[in-house]
Formats: sequence, structure tokens, C-alpha cells
Amino acid sequence: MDLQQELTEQRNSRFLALLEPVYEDCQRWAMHLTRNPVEAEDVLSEALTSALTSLSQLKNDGAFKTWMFRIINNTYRMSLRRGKRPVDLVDPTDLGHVKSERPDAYLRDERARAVRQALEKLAPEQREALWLFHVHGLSSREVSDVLGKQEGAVRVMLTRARDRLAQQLRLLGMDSDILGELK
Amino acid sequence: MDHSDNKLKGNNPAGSQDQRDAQWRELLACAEPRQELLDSVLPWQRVLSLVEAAPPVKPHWSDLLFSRVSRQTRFALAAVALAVGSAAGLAVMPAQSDQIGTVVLARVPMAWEAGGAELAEVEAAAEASFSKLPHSEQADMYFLPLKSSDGDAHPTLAIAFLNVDSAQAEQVFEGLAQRFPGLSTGVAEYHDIQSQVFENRLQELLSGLREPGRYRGLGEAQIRSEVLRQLHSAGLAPESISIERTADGGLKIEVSATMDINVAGGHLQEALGDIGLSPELLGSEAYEQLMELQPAQ
Repeated sequence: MDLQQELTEQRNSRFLALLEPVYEDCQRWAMHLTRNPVEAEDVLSEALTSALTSLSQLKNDGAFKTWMFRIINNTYRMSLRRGKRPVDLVDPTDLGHVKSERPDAYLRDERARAVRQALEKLAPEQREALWLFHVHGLSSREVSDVLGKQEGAVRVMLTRARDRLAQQLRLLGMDSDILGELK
Repeated sequence: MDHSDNKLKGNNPAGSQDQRDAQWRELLACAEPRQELLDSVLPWQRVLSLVEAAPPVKPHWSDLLFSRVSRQTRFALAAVALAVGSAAGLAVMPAQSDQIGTVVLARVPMAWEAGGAELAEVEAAAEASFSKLPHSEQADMYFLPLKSSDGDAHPTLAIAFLNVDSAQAEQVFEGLAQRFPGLSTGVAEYHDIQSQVFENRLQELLSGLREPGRYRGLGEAQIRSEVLRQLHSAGLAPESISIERTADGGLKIEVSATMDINVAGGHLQEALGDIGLSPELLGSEAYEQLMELQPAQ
């Protein structure tokens, strides 16, 4: 095996070992940004190739997930600049949870629909910050790394996003008890 | 995780921060896409194909150097002898010099291309000259035509001599420069390759071996075992160990050891540091110059 082949195999093994535990999160993040499985796949493919070829720049393996999220975000932004239009609205029947046969399924589906509609009223960056922070469990510093913002700005963005989301959910008639718990 | 920013809301929340984080997570997660839809976005099997088909790594010049180092040479050899418990107290003989090589950098004419006739001729002459020098089996020479990241700058030829006396390296290069005037396009620079890490490991070994009372009441086999353990913990591989009791009741231990340097992907700078190619030893300018250079194709 020549040196180039050996180094390529080393790089690929390292990349896959780092990627596998967080891959589902990467799929979620790409899907969240694009809200379209075809677009998500395009963005994710391009981001993975870009990350793989620049893996030597990653100094801290522990920060891989944040690094990968940032690359996915940048790839998505570049695709928008290249003229790809963001998908306008989420189709609840496509993107929602699988409908359940349990007695409380209807209520949960209604709740999901309300949350999705309320999220649509947020600015994309507010939505992304909320998602990264609450769903993916990133710290505000990591969110700022991914979005390329100052940490302070992210904190403010999160506060406003939560307030706005709660306000929208109230307008959509979500149970005030649930919202009250969130404050 | 720092989720303290929720406090910025200024509300008076009921329940703990963790509870509220969990509630927000649950609320937002209910709007996530269906799992089977997510699973359909670039399935893992296609990721494997994508990685397989990705462009190969373009080795940095130092990868070429290190791969040669780790495969063909035991990187450094040092002998250390110490006398323990003699009447004169501890006596430590110095280890061999930690200067383990020399890198010569020389600008060459713009027309000299990697793989071209001129550099091939210089390389053949360098190999011939190097092979005539008296040196150890671990000695090695590596010929690295490099190009600058600045396309207008002259290409550089780096010749790395490992486990070779610096005077011998200079002798080889000066002989080449006389024969090939193109090597005098600029002033050649000589940089020592030193192994601080190796020295540090020897110091670590010495401090372990010299611990007072360590060998009291031990037989030779036990002392040997202890020395081996110390060598191992200092990251050194033993070549030979000699233990001798001195007339004054002391103990003389002689150790020859080697250190292998393995370069794993992604740890280039640490590996460079291990063999002394650091900004401190080379000077930041020379170091940056080395890091920016790429292998000429």
C-alpha cells in the first residue's frame, strides 16, 4: 500500500468513527434547515465531502459534532446563494410524527401541528438556534460556533425565540398550562 | 452543557432549569420529521460509498518524511549510564546529543520542476554522495522538492538528513552546490532537527531510576525488571541494559534505548514538534515556511 492510500484510509476510518455516533443528528440538522428530504440529501452529501477533505483541520475530535453542524449550515447557506430557494412551508402530513392509534394521538398531532405553525412565524435563525440548543442539546457557545454568531447574540436570540414561540402558540390556542410550565 | 441562558427570559419559572429544558425539548421535538423520512436522507450505506469515492489525501511533505522515518529507522539512539549509591553519590553520564538530523533548504531556479531532469540529476548525485559517507544504518536522507504557496516564488529543495552528523550533511550539500550552480540561487539554510521530546523522556527515565532507595535489597533480575518498567513508562524501547555492582558498593546501570515516532493522521504538528521541527527551535519564520510548502507534483 502506498503512502497516499494509507493516509486516505486513515483519514476515512477516523472520519467514519467520528461521524457514526452523530450521523442521525446530522440528518436531523440537514432536514431541519432544508425541510425537504431531497434538498437535505444534497446538502448533507456536499457537507460530508467537504468535511472529509478538510478533516486534518479538525484539531479536537470532541468538537466534531459542532464542526460538522457548522459545515452543514455553511453548505446550506451556499446552496441558497447559488439560487436554490428554501422550501416555503412544511407539509405537516409529511414531516409530522407517525400517527398513533393511541387515544391521545389526536391531541398530540394537534400539538405538533401547532408547534410547526408557530415555528414558521420565527425568523430562520431563531428557529435554528432554538433547535440546536433544545433539541440537539448544544450549549449557547456551540450554537454560536455553528451559526457564526457572537455567543451573546445567540443568548438574546434564544430568549426572543422562546418568547415569540410561546406567544404564537397561545394565539394558536395551545393549552396555557403547558406554556406556563415553560416560562 | 450551559443552558443558563434560559434565565434571560426574566420570568419566574416554576420547576427546575432541567425540567424546563426537557419541556422545551419535548415541545420542539414533536415537530420533528417522521423517523422513516429522516432515515431516507442519505442512508448510512451511501455515506460509506461517498467516503470511499472521496478524493484521496494529498500527503503533506512532512507525511512523506515521517512515513519514511517510522518505517525505515528507529529514530534515535541514546546511551545513558548512571551510578547509584556509590560513595561519590549519584553520577549521571550525559546522554548522546539530541541533535538527530539536519534539514537543508535551498532555493532553486524557477525552471527546475519536480520530476524534471535537473532535480533528478541533483537527487542522483545526492544519493551517490550520501552513500559514500561513513554513517550508521539508521542514517537516512530524504529529498523533497517543494513549491511555495506563493506561485511567483522560487521553488525550494529541502534535503532532510536523519541520524547524520550535521557536518556530514553540510559536506553533502556543499558538494552538490559546487556541482550544480542552480542550488546557489539563494542562500542555503541549515536547520538542526532536535528531539526535545527524546531528551524529556530521558530525563523522565533518569528521575525514575534515580529515586533513592529504589534498588535496596534487590537482586539483578529485579533491578533489570525495574529498569524495563521505567523505560516503558518513559516511552522508550530498550536496546540493551547492563547492570554492574561497583567496588564501593554502588550500582552502575547502562541503558541504550530507542524511541519510535509514529505519526497518526491529524497530528502532524505534534509529530513535527516531536522531532524538533517547532517554531521555537526553527524560528517562526522558517517553521511557517516549512508548513506552507507543499509537495511538488
